[in-house]
Amino acid sequence: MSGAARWSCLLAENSPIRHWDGEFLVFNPANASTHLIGAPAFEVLQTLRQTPVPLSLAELAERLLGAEAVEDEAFLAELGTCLQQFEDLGLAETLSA
Amino acid sequence: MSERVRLGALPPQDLQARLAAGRLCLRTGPFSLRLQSRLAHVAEAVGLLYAEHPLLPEEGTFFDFHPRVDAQPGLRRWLRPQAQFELDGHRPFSPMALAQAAPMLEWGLNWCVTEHAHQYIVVHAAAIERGGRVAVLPAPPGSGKSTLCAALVNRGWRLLSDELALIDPARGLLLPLARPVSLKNRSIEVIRSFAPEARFSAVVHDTLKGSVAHMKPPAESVRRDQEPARLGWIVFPRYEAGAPLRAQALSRARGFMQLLDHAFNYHLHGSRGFECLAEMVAPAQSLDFSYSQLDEATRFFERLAADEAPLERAT
Repeated sequence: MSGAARWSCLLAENSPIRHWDGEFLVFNPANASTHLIGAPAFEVLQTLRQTPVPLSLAELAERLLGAEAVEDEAFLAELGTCLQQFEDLGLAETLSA
Repeated sequence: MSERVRLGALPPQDLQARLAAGRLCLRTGPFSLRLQSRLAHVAEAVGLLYAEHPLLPEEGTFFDFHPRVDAQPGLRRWLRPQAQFELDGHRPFSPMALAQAAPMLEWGLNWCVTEHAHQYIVVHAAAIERGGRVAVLPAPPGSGKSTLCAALVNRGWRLLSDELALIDPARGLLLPLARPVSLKNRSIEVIRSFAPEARFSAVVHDTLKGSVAHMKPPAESVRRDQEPARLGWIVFPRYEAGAPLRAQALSRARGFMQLLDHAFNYHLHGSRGFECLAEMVAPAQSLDFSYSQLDEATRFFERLAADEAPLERAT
């Protein structure tokens, strides 16, 4: 993944979401798909969704866990995997700088 | 509303004449059907399996489906006679052996609903009701869904459907479609022994599904086939020979997602379909259920209906 890549959420503002017992159901009207997402991954998606501009991996990590997360290689790798999965599902897109 | 006349009230010759002329009009659940077949064994099966269903007037009724099953014309009928299902001139299936015409009509009616009834969310599942709550049993073929359904409707549960659960997205309720219950192979004898009072169509052998027979839906279920009901449970059944009964709770989100795996047309309903199903699933209980003994399984469902069923916790 390019360090210059930036991410944004493709989920519309009015996309319906249900939260039950620590699990989230997300409906994406763009392709009529439904996704079951655990709480940590949903926080990633929600952070992207609530940010008006695309975020780099480091910026996203900082918003999620604070400045020290930017130096946490394991966390960044996990976050990158999560974003890739969101992209595969049509929930997020990556924009090259 | 005019007095309800049951199909079973027709003398057999009258039934056969109406069916041959494409004038046998009946209602099942939300659908009105106008059936056609010149085949005597189809008339016999329809007469038995739909005896409790109400006839509809030919004039002034809008018919949802005009299905027809008849022998294939031409030379083949002398060599290897075959039956063909037809809907409004469209033939969705390859012809089958003539002896399979009656089950072919049932399979064709399932096709009519799954392909055309998109005003509903259609789920490949049995649906049975007790105490105002519906247990939906979504499962792939061979999982024992219809066998379990047949057993339960012979032990006091109301049949909504053994194959197609219909959800009205406007009301968030399940609609009955109390049609014959399809049984295959060993299940036919299992249910005959389990419920000697049940009535069956003739067994048809060598179909793509093996030997098949249809069980007549209980009269009370047909009588109440305009009464929708709310979702109570989503049970994912699996028959496992020799295995002990096991019931494990699923989280609501997992129950929801597994239910979608069996929905034919959920994607057509967009956000409204999601919202509708979420509202229905929220108060319902979802569980994985495996069984090998029907008596034990029906006892478990008794306890489920009484909110006393022991469940393993969700993992």
